[in-house]
Amino acid sequence: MKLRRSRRPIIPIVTGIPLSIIAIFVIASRWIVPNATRQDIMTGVTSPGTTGHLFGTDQLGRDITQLAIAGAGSAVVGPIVIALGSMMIGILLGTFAGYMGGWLDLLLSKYADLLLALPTTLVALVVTGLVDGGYWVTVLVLIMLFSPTDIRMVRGSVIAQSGRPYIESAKVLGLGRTRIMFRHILPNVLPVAFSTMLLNVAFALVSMSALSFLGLGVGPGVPDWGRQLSDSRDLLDRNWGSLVLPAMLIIITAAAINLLGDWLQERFEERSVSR
Amino acid sequence: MDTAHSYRRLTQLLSRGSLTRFVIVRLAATGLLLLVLSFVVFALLHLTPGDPARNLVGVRNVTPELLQSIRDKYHLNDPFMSQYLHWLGNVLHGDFGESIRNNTTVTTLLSDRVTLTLQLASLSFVLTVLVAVPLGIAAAWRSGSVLDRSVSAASIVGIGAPTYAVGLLLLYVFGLWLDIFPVYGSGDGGLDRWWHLVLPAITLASGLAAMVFKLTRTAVIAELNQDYVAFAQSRGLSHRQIRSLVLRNAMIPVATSLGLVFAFLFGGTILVEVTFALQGIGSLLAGSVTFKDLPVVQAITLLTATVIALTALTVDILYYLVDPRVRKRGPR
Amino acid sequence: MNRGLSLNNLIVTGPAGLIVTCMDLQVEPGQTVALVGESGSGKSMTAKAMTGLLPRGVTATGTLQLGEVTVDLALGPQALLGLRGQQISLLLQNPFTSLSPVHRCGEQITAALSPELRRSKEEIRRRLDEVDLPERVARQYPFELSGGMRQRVALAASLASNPQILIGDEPTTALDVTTQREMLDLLERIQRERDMALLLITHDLGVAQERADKILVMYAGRLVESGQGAEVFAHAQHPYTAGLRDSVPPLEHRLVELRAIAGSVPRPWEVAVGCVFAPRCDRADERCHNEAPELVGTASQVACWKPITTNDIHLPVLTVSDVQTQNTDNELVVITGISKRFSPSAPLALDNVDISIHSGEAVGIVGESGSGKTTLARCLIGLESFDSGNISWSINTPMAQRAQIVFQDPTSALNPAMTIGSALAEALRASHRDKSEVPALLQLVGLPAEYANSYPSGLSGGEQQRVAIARSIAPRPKLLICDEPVSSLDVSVQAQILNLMNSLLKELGIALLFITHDLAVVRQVVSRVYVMSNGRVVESGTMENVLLSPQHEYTRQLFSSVARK
Ligand SMILES: Nc1ncnc2c1ncn2[C@@H]1O[C@H](COP(=O)(O)OP(=O)(O)OP(=O)(O)O)[C@@H](O)[C@H]1O
Ligand code: SF4
Ligand SMILES: [Mg+2]
Repeated sequence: MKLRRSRRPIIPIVTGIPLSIIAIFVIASRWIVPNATRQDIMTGVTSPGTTGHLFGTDQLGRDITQLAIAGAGSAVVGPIVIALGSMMIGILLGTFAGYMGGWLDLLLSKYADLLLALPTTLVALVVTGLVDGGYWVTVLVLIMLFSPTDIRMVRGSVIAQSGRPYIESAKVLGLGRTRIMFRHILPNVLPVAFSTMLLNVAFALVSMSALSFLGLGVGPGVPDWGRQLSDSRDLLDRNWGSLVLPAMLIIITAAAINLLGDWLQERFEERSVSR
Repeated sequence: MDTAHSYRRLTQLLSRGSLTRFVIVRLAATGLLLLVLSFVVFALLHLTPGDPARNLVGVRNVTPELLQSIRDKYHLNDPFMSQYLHWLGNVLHGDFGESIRNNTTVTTLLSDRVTLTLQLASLSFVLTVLVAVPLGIAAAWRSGSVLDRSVSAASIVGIGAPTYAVGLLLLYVFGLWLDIFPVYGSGDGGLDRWWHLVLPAITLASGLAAMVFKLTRTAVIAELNQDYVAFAQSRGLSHRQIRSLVLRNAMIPVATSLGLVFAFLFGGTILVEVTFALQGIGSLLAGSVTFKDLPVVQAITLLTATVIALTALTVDILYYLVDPRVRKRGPR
Repeated sequence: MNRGLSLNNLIVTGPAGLIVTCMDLQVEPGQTVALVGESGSGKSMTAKAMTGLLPRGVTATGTLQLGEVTVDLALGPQALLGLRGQQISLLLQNPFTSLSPVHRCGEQITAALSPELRRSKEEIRRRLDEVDLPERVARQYPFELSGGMRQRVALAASLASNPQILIGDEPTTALDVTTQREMLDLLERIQRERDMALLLITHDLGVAQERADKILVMYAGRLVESGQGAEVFAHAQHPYTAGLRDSVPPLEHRLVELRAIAGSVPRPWEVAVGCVFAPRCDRADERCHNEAPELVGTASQVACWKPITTNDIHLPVLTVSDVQTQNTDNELVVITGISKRFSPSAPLALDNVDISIHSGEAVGIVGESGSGKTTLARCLIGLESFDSGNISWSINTPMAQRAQIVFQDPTSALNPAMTIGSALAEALRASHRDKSEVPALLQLVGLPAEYANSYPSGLSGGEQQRVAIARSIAPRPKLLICDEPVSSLDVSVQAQILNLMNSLLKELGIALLFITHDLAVVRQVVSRVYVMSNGRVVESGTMENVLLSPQHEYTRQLFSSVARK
């Protein structure tokens, strides 16, 4: 059906603004706030609005705003790597599992079953906690935890694609497996994979910051939103800014990415229906 | 005894699509899953960097005698498989060993804490269901309305927002600023306990409710678009009759999703308990991980997995009972 | 008292524009009126407007007279409350989706009754009996019943409140040919017994001609012609009606060429000024392109400036004899004793099937859904394995140059992410031919060369099917397998594709295996036919022999259900 409600691209605009600001923070924080981690014991905790400190300072006299800007990097880079990494695994293994079937398929789906039997937060906490991992170990662990769902997703849509007549026509034409996979199946799977990846960035952002809230992931002294939030619990009565700024940053970033991912997914679905 | 008869009876019970067969198959699968998980959980002891015996010593003074006694107690010198079987045997008798941090058995430690977590989880679950399911149905019924759009927007924020950030914000606003709810701690039993649990439960429920809302809304909209709804309208069925048709059909996916939500519930309690300094299983796990209190970590992981697996099993059986298609044709 | 239905000046508007324009129709008690037209012409939208079931974003204006009551359709579904079910009821096309899957049939049939009657066993039995269903059906769920039985349950449900008017929106299209006929007979009987008005929506001209007292022809959201029963087609006045009639392949003889209508059905809102049919009409002149004709006439009505009259010269219909000489020593492929079972508990999908195809010969396979036709084709082309039996080819080329296949649904047969040109180029390259042949290939299937740059989504169904055919002849196979290649196309487009196939066969000299459920369609293309039922070949022979003297009971049944609907 060629009916499409005319829809202004309001979502990309609404989400694009906060996301580009965050992106600028990530790329340029070392120039914007070169002294974010400088401690100033003399100042100590100050409340929001104190001269020069929009959101106040923490126990060590660090400016909350500067810390939050500097923390954008560790908040966002890891999740992007996680989403990319797990989707790469997902596409690689999912395509093979979906297209070839057999023992690999069985093994992968059992692995996914096993991991889905436990909450991600719990497994991430236990594994990173026990191995004393730093930031990148946490990223690696989360990639392992995220990949099963991606494998499943890709596998599912590869299987859905392989049953379609145009894939069968390609087989009848005598095209090779590799060509069918890369020219025919993947281009039709990638749009869905991309929007899933976006949703995963948001999910990973929340998981990473949750871990650093629990004291895992980022090393001590490294600026990070989750760490800031964890610290803010002791400052609540003296500086509400230490809570509100990082909390809002996390919530807004995650919500914006989610919205965008949802919107994209809907678009892709719509397109595949109208085709 | 007539063996032919009992054989026939047995094959009947186990025939394709029979409830007994369904339950047996699903039970076996659940058992297998838990067995594999127990193996992985046990292996944690050896996967943790460092000598297992030393890890089990904790902060006590390391003396050769102590190490030896721990090795004896945990059979650390035995082959891996026999260590595992020993451990599994104890676990099945409810014995997870002793906590390293507190000098008590893991079982005592857990039984002190488990009530609070269960209270928190059930309160959040009830909140979630009471709020999200009706809202999801209402939003689907009037999709595109102001109600639908505002709740849908809120649910996107709810799904994305991290539990602990929401928790801290609520804590600040209602606990410190407005001073309505207690800020930290678990209260002293009875009503006070529940009063202390209100904010944490709302925190935990916010994310879950967003998820359940979305799933319910999608499920009901999918049903509303079905031909049978148009057909029912064309036959002049009342609004109430049509609603019951739709809800009965939508109930199946919604119930399934509620089962899945359970897994998230137990992940979420960790963060909420830490945020609100509640003495439950979740905060115990967080503390034990940092402290490398392995027996406690093992026990909690395995328990959580068991609860989640049993929930999934229950949901599957309910699904089977509710959906005549599955009932007649056997499990998918 | 007038108990019929009268619809006046219905206008349905969708988000993109007009869907139905100025529609009038009357149905009297005991009368059957057929509304025919190709897909997208607005038949279903008309039915939905009359029952207040328009989808979101679609609105209607006009008045509906049901017996004594007049309803203003602009007021929306509210205006019809209390009338739906009681006065007017709608039976939908798909019996697999129109019943709730988790409620028992008895419950669904009696849902509209008063609570006391709902519980009455007697009442349920009576209702089931009326639609020739046994009592046990009341306790069964829809998924436990066959398509035909489900549609009977749906019929009983729609009759629950004893409406005076029943609209059937393609009520038999989703059923098998033999079941279709039973269902239509049942409808006719119930209509007579209840003295009910029946509005039968269908795209099947045969059904309309056979069953209706009055026929209305719709095109692009407008009524173009109406008249008494079979007269409408026998003496078609509107060029579209005539074209539609001539597009339908006859069962009685084989034509040299079907008289297809060029082009494809437009979307109602894409029609600019002038006559809706002008772009496809060979009688069109200046006025036709500038001014829209009104529906005029009394007994029969037509909306055309230059209607066809009895004085017009009728081109003679050229038929050919379809017995062709067989070259028995020149077998291309021989299938012997193929059997296939999909799962141990399932019945045999193919049961010891023998088939042979000679070089350059057009062979048909006819059978109902589930008879194993598709499975056989897939085994032959290598998309499916088989348990026992043998396929032996007389040529040694790579498989791709032995046989190619065209599927039923052209939309899913083309990769949405690839342009037509690159899809064809790929097919050419796969058999070591040059992609410079793409324009020639497009021309061969009657498409302009510019189409190479479009994506499948920009093409109509018929055009997509042409591309699929082009792709399958690209490797120059010796055998072309077509699995229901025209069943998802409109009649007028179906005729184009059938003509195309015939000309391709002549031009390329390749063999054809044509699979279909439609005897009349296969008649126009093949010279020899196999009839399949339950995985077996029950009859085979030349097209003419099989039609004239069917040997097997099943063939006779198939034949009679097509011949009289
Ligand atoms: N939900 C909808 N919203 C808006 N327009 C629609 C909707 N559904 C269908 N249409 C459009 O209305 C027009 C008429 O459709 P309709 O379903 O009435 O055709 P039809 O004659 O019943 O065709 P078919 O033989 O395929 O059933 C089509 O062009 C279609 O694209
Ligand atoms: S009005 Fe003209 S264009 Fe339209 S059908 Fe008649 S002759 Fe053809
Ligand atoms: Mg229709």
